[in-house]
Amino acid sequence: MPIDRRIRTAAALGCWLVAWLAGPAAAHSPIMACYDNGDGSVTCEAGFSDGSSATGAEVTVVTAQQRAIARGNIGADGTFTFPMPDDPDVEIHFVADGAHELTLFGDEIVPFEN
Amino acid sequence: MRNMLTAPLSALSACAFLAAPAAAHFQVLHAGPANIGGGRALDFTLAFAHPFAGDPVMDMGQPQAFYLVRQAGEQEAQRVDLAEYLRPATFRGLQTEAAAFTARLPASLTRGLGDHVFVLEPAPYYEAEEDTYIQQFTKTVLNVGGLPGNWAEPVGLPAEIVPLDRPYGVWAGGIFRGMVMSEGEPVPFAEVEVEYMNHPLDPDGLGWEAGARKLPEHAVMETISARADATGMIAVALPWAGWWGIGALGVGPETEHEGKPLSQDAVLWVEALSQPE
Repeated sequence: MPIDRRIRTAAALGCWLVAWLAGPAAAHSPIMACYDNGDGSVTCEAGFSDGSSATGAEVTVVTAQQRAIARGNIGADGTFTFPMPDDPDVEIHFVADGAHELTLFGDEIVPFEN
Repeated sequence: MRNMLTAPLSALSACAFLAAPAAAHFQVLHAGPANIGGGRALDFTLAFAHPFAGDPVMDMGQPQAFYLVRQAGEQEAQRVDLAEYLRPATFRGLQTEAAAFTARLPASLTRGLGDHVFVLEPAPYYEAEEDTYIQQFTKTVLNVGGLPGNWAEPVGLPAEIVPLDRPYGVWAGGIFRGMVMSEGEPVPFAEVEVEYMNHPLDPDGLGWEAGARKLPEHAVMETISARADATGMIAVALPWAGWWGIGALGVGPETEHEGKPLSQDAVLWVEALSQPE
């Protein structure tokens, strides 16, 4: 293969690799929704905007005084369930890794509806 | 000379206008905005109508099937039968009324993040003017919370438009693309019609609000006619915000019902979104 053709081929492969690696990161933001189950518990469901799983990501529920009242991980079904706090003034922190964090507040928990 | 030409042209124009509704039937499957928060009951309107002109509306028979295929991220898709929620109703066009259905779906059905593909398989409708039956397999895709799911997956209808672009994430002025399928196979050069839902629904979902949002200067613009390309792909511009019905006509495998011609159509509803203020 001529040298210039090899260079062009290598450059094309390099560009493809960069595009491939950059792709997932280009549209990847955390998503979480929390629902009052109506039975004294709250279920939060989480994922990423590109459809990738949040399994294993940490969820911490803290009071307004930043006291942790529940902590766990997103399960294989994409959810984490914790007891409904007595005081609704809470923050629900979702941390997938150092770069992806999201906080929902107690008043964003979707009220139970049949 | 000019007057002699004008009269027949006017008559032709009137014929075209009167004929237009017969070619622009759209099965409506509507429950408000496509992007929802979830965890709330959904009120669906199922009506056979002319969403641009407003009239006439046509009687629906008992649907053959009404269901939801929902899926989020990497989870397995789940099919939920919704037939139990169907209720007979009367849908009000601007000047006509027809038998239709409503369905109030409980909040539990929209709790999960992800795509919710609502599917209606209506009974064939007898179009007396053309002595033919029409059956429009219809999909409306709603998304909960922004987590993508199965919007690009076929649900396996005999006649189906499979999106190539998210049907709930197109800017007004953007392009929507899809594949016209018949029993899972692309349909080259399929006949396609596109129509804007030109009338907001009444709050009860059982009729059009009076007063069209926009009126075309020419009747020909009520229904956009097009063809799929050689691969079966369609590309449709959505020039302003709101719901757009895309129909592929006569692409299903069955061509006869009760001894008369049958057109099995595929309908997909796409919502174009305006830029935030």
